[in-house]
Amino acid sequence: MTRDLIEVIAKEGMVDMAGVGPDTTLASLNIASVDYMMILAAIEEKFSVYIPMDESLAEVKDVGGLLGVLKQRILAEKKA
Amino acid sequence: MSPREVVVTGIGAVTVAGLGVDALWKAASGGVSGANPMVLPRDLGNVIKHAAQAPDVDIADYLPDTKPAYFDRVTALALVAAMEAVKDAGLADAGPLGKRTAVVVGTGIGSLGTIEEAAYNLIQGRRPDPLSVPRAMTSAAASHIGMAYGCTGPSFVISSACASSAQALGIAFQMLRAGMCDRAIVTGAEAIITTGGMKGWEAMRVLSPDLCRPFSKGRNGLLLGEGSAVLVLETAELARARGARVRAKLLGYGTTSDAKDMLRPDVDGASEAMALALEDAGIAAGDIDYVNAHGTATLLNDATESEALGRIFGNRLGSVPVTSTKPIHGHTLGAAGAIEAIVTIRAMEEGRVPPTINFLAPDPNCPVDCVPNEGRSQSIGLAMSNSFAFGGINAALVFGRAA
Repeated sequence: MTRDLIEVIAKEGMVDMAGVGPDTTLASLNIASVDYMMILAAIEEKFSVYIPMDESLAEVKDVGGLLGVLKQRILAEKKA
Repeated sequence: MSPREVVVTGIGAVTVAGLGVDALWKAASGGVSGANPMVLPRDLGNVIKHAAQAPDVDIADYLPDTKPAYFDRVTALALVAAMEAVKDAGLADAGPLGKRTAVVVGTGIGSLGTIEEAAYNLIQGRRPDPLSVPRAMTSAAASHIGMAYGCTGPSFVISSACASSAQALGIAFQMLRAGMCDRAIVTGAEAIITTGGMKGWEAMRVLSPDLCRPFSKGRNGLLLGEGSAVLVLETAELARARGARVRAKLLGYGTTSDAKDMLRPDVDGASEAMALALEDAGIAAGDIDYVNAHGTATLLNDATESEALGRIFGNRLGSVPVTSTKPIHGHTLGAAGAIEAIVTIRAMEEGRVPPTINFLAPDPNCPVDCVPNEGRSQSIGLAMSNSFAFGGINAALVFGRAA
């Protein structure tokens, strides 16, 4: 799942994920609010999960954090 | 010469709470959630399943001589609200209102249902409805209200997303002050709870999958709604001359544009609109007893609006009730300014601050007294209503109690 998520972020956020690690900040990748929208829409398509913009997403600063929140949401939705 | 005074003499509304202002106020003051399972014409896999959908309105019940096929839902909602407002103003039997009465409508999208149906038919290879154009025109509601009451003065639509009907009220206010007309039927109307409308808003990621919780910790988005609200504005002179009941005074209007970002709100633009409205009303921030906030319950709006309010109210911020009634009537986009103006006027009349419902816990980024979950009795002499739109257009209105 992690690889799938990274692919989505790279494609929708229009960033090159080569050399990017969990500590890379989203700001350094120039991922802004509109990119978030695109990423979340793509994740809905791929995993059938609706993820709204809430505090946990707004507080995420780096790639590792973003992956963590997304994974948590997808797994929670799968269980529900 | 000081500008002419402007008063509100009639109000009408159709919202998720039902037909009429009484239904709206009962829900707002009692804190009744407007989130209901929604009914869509066709299911295209919509993820969000609830909205603040207004009741079905069959215009034939109201205007037996007209053909329902002429009206998009947005126009039908606007007409029914206009009928209540005109009757409330004591003008239902006044005959044609003539060239000194304007009609100003605020709507974000207008006839989305008609546009969607036409597109759907085209894609299926069917001929579009011959009435598509007169029904879909953004100005259809303005023309129909004008025809219903013989208003032959200025008639037009203001479209500025979620600020539409706040700006409609503001510009009609200025027209009355300036002497362009003596009366205006000002309408806010929106009917975008359609399959495509909901899909579009879903994609924005600003709809809450559970509950709309303005200013609260844990908020995750808004509740989309539809409806209409109409206010009859008149010069105080005309209202006095015909012995009309005054429901409120419209005292000030301020509007600004961020000119920065399509989606991200801006503290400067929002606070400047409020400052301009106060200046226009000739009152100090300290005189405001109640603020009906834009309060969408998106993470960004509520934090930004709180900061903007902080600039206006300074260290008095925590002692001014600032509530969002959007979880009750939904975020009705272009209709929001007019619906919330009516909630504000009713709050002044009743001396009752409506609550912000679904509140869980304070958010340090929103240090306002949002009157969580339970309303409060309190005298309100002066109140402000905010509307901030995507695209960065901001509007604030200041109202005063009738007497």
